[in-house]
Amino acid sequence: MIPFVYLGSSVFFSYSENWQHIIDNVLLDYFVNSLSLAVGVGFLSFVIGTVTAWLTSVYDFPFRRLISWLLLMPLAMPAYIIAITYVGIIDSNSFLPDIRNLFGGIVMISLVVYPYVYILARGAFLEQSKELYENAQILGASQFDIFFKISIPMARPAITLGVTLAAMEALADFGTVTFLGIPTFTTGIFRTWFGMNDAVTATQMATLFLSIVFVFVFLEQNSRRKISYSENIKTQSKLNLKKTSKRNNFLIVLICALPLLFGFLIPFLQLAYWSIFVSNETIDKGFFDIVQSTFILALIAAVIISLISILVTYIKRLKPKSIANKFMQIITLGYAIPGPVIAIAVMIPFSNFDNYLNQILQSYFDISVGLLFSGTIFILIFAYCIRFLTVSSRTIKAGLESVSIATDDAAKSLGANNLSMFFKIHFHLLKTPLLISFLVVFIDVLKELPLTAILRPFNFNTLSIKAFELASDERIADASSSAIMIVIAGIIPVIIITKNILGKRNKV
Amino acid sequence: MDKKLIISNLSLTFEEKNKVLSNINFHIDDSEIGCILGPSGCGKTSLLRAIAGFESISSGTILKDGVCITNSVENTPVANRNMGMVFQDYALFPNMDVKSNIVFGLKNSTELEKDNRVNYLLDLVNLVDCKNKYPHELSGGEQQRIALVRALAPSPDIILMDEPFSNIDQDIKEELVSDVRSLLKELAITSIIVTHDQNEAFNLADKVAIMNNGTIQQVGIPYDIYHKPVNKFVANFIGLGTFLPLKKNNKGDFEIPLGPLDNNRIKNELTKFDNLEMLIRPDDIIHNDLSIKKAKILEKQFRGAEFLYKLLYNNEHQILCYAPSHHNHEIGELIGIELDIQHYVIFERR
Repeated sequence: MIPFVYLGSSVFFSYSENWQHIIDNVLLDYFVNSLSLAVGVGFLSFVIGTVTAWLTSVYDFPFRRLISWLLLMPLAMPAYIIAITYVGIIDSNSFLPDIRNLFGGIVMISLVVYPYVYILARGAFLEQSKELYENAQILGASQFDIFFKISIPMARPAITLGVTLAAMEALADFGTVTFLGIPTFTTGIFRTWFGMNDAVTATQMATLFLSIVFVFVFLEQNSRRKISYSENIKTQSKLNLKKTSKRNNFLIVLICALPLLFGFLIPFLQLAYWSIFVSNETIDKGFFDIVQSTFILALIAAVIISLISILVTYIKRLKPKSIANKFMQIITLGYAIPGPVIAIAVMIPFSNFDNYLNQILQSYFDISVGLLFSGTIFILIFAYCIRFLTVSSRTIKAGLESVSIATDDAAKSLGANNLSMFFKIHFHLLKTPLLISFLVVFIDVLKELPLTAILRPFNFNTLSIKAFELASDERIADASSSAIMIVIAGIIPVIIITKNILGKRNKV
Repeated sequence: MDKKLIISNLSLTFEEKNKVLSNINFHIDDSEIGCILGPSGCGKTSLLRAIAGFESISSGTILKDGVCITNSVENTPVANRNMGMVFQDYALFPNMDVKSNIVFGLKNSTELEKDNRVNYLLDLVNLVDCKNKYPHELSGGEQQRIALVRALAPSPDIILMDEPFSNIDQDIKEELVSDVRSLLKELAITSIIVTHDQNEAFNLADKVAIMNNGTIQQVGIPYDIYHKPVNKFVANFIGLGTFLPLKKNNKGDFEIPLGPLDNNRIKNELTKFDNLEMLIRPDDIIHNDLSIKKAKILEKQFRGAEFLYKLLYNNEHQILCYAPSHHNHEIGELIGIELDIQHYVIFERR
């Protein structure tokens, strides 16, 4: 809570002359770029995501099952890594167009975030009833009619959520835009803070930016509240897959293969090639130390965040009207907040507190404890909590909601208390969502860049920071070892999650 | 018989305004099976949940064995009421096998006692083979019986069932209903069952309470509920029937369009004598081809052994009539009918 109050209160701080400079010269750029990035990524992911989702859920074509889960693979690829890779490729092949511009940024980010739309839209398409399609066909609708008039509108809540997630990701992006040299709000905040050394102005920018983000979040949540018809249909029978001609099959495979190729295969293979044949960076003890510390950090964060999520969602289930709930709603907005903003919101209050504590301790007891919170891993984990609690708690909440309330009543009527009910029943039913939550947070921390870069303890390095630093020094090939580690580690959860979600849902 | 559960002046309000139950008075005797019957949304499930302790009531009291378990201030926790509950979707714990589900509520028992209890209960419902199966491996009817057995396991004082048969296929439902009734009777356990299905209620219950709009309309044995409904809602909700105007003719005798009635019986039952109408059940009308009274067939429903005819008498009065199914008449045809009313149910016309 404190970080948000701090951000909010920054509106009342005095405004430095840097503001005038920012307003005169860069603010409009930041605003236009951030907005274009969000809209562009939202639109492009919508197109890629819904088209591939539709094709893989309606048509039968060769390698359909393989392709439908390979399409999720780009999730394992952080946007800044794909950007680094393509810049590397383009630099050595001069005939390719440059991507160090807004358009390039939109394409890069879309290539790795479209799976959000894809997975949600596909889930919605698969749940749409066969009767509905058949009805539309009897009434004379073509495939295009069905797609635009029935499937898309019915899947709108899911698609909206997916597109919002994709757009949020673009808004919050730091690594890609920094690397590609696109001035946005996130890079602007970072530059004001560390380049101009003006934390107050940076905070005020963050607040301004955050208010814009919240408007988006609010709009998205509102749109979801109004639309709930997709869940009302009970009589479901699985859709029969449509068979089409050889030529169409080829086209479908081609369309589905494109995002897969550009979003995953090409960059992955290029990284693998660099790391094995080109990289000067030796894989030695130093490298493995970094791997180890990265994994431990991700592990701790994933465990803590998943535990908090359980606690919070469980309280919500038991006491739907408690204050903890409202509190939770605010905290879980964290997903929409870019790393540098969270970093500011966490860093400054904590370091002030640390300094204050130090002064007191020094004047009364003559001891110095140094920076107790702000310089340690504690603050980093705390910031991760703000950033990733949303994802984790949403997963667990969805899992808990699938257990009917009558189950709780049954347990209570048989004399169970809340604690025994949790350990005997809910915990067992929540194993899968818990695993998913754990893995998602784990991989997100692994990929995370700005928070870690700003808040890490001195001399503490992670794979993502190392990859980004090397790439920024134009040593792209050298960055590949760290980058590919992140990607490989990211593939594992993607596979497990896909098996779990798509496996259960779609045994066609 | 002892009154096992007494509900007095109970009201339940959700979120300040929304009154779900008002002024409910109802009691149930020891070992009696009571049914709360009503259309969906009438508040019957809320009443059951209030009895179980899942809802806090806004006024009134519930006494169990003479002890107050809830009023507007105090509320004995669910776990301490010693009531068993069977839920509409059974709410079996999906992560536990049948045995673990059943022993869930057994506290302070040794493993041997638990084993014996499980075997005894499963034997009662003929499901000993299912002991180690998981809920998803059971059919709907099996799940239903396991849910009942699980609720019975801790030997509750009262068993509460919320629409226990609503997810059961029609063809096995009747058998299951009568099995459950004999089981409850065998164990002599007080039971309250909520349902919207009158056949279910009539087959199960010793006593039926009809609910509508959050109030109890009538409490009685199934026979009385059908033949002596106290108001038009009950008359309409239970069974089929139509209403015919009841008038005095110029001799001062009571009659309905179909013919004269027993004056003395009517005078004994009524306090007001004008603007009345009478409930005519399909079984009050007998089809007889030789009768001189004729009615025109408006609609007919084939029900296997019989036809249900909807008839128009004298071009203005609609009545219903069952006829054996070899009396297959066409729509529009005039058929002979006779009046044979055993129960006079008379309401004031609105």
